[in-house]
Amino acid sequence: MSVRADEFGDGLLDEARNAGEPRALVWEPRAPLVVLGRSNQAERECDAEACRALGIPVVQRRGGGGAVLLVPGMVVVTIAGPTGESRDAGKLFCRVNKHLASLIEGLGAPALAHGGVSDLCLGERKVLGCSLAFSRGFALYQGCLLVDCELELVERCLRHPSREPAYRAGRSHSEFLTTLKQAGSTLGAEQVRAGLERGLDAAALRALFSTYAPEACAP
Amino acid sequence: VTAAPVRVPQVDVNDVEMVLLDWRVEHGARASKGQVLCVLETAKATHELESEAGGLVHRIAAAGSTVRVGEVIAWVGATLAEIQTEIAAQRSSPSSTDSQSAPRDEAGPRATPRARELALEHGLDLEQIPHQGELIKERDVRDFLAARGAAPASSAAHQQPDTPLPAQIAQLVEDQGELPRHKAAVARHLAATQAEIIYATIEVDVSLDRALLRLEEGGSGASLFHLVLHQTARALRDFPLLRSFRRGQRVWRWKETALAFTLVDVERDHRLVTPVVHRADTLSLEDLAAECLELSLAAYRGELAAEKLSGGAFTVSMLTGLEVTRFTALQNQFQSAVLAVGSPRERVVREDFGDFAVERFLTLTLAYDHGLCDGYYSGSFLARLKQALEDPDSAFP
Repeated sequence: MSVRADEFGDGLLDEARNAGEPRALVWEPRAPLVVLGRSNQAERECDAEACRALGIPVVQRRGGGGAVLLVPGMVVVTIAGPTGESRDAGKLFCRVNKHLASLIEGLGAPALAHGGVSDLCLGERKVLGCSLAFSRGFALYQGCLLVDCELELVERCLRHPSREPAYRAGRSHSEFLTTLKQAGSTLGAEQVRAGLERGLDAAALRALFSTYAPEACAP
Repeated sequence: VTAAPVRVPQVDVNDVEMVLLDWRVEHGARASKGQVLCVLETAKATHELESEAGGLVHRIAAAGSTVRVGEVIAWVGATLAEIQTEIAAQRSSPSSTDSQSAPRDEAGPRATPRARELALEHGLDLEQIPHQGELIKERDVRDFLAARGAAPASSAAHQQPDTPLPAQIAQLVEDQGELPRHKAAVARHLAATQAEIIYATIEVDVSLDRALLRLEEGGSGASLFHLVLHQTARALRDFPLLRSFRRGQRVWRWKETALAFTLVDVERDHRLVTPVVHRADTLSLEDLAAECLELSLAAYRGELAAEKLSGGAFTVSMLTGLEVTRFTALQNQFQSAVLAVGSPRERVVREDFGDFAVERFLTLTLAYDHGLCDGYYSGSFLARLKQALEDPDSAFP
């Protein structure tokens, strides 16, 4: 699948808005791409010279959070759905990540833990990061799961983030990030992509955006 | 509601502060209901904030700033004049500081800032208000009040309970309903200002013959009122106490001589508007007249920019066209003096050689704060102004 701008949210958000129902897109990047958070300054968050030299485009998403480098071997999950008057990011992060964690574990990956505001972790290292954007009664969730990918480029293209969760504790990208493969999983990105796509069917998506009911946050 | 605050919403339990990323509507531009006004960001989420009503947008918080939940970041209203009136009313309200930031950390049920305000206005405990979902909303409070038979306060402008009339009066009068919101706001704001001021007035008659002759010859487009504004601004340079104000034991002086002047919009329920001519003492008479014309036209269109409605150090008021010979005016907020300009009229005077002649003149009445300056100081200012108006060469270089 080629990378298009609308895969960073607007297209799916419009689709969900038109349908009045949640929509999901699960895909694997085919080429490196830097995606900045909504308020990120490119010069602060990434090494523009390195990106230019490597021919890596830099784009910006609607949602908050920090910059990410997408590379092959990652799986990107984009979900858009109606939230009405609710803007409770914490609850939606919790609900979607909990569902994704159960799907990933169901594929045979090690148990995932909750970290920071909205990360999924293996031990103390981050394996999934995500962001949310609320727009006129709808929310757009975007998450990036590190399955089986090289992380060298991350150090070259991204600077240490301007904001970080407490549990990162100043660690470099290579010390902080990990992949399912590094944790011993033999799952490939395509296998995970297909599994997540199956697990994000219409019924599951409706459940994610149904009326909030109290639930535990730990996945 | 003619002007309503735009507050930072409570988006989840953990976020007390957010970053105002950017504005999607220009300051002073019109927004429609549901239009995205700005984008806010919490730790990992962005939130588009939509306008709950259509109207002019008066932005307060700057893009890039950190804002607290419940904080007012903008106002939306029918006109900027109404917005300014509401802002002034909010600032003069003792509860305004509390209402700017919704209490998030205190114990008790979660509620929207407006719901908290409304509950506070009616002395309600949030714990007693039934609600659906995790957040108590304004509608929940209103429903509760309706169910128990209390009329919800229609706005913050009507916070004081109506005092019942004595029976012998009540049978002689008819209830005409509540004050219009803008008039209630003006009344509150003036009452708050007057509570601080030791009100005193002093007046002087000014001969106009030479000034009117020069105005007729001048062709500058300036009127007598413009000439009074022009000379007042210049005279104020030497009377700094009249462009200062008291707050408690402290005195504050405006950095520039900005003159406010009063307009009454008879087309819209006689709403009072006070546009401000900034750096009035540096303008030529012609430029000042042009500025006043521009401000007046913008005011009547309801399109005065916010900065043209604030920052006045002194006010000049004239009841144009009413042939009122003299009157006293009330000081505006953050000012200590106001000059009331009576309509020109004629009188018979004895000239140097004993002949009698008819002379045109007007009466200037200065209201000032006797806690800040005395009658001699204020009288000296009026004498200087009288001299300048009666010898208007300085106004016509």
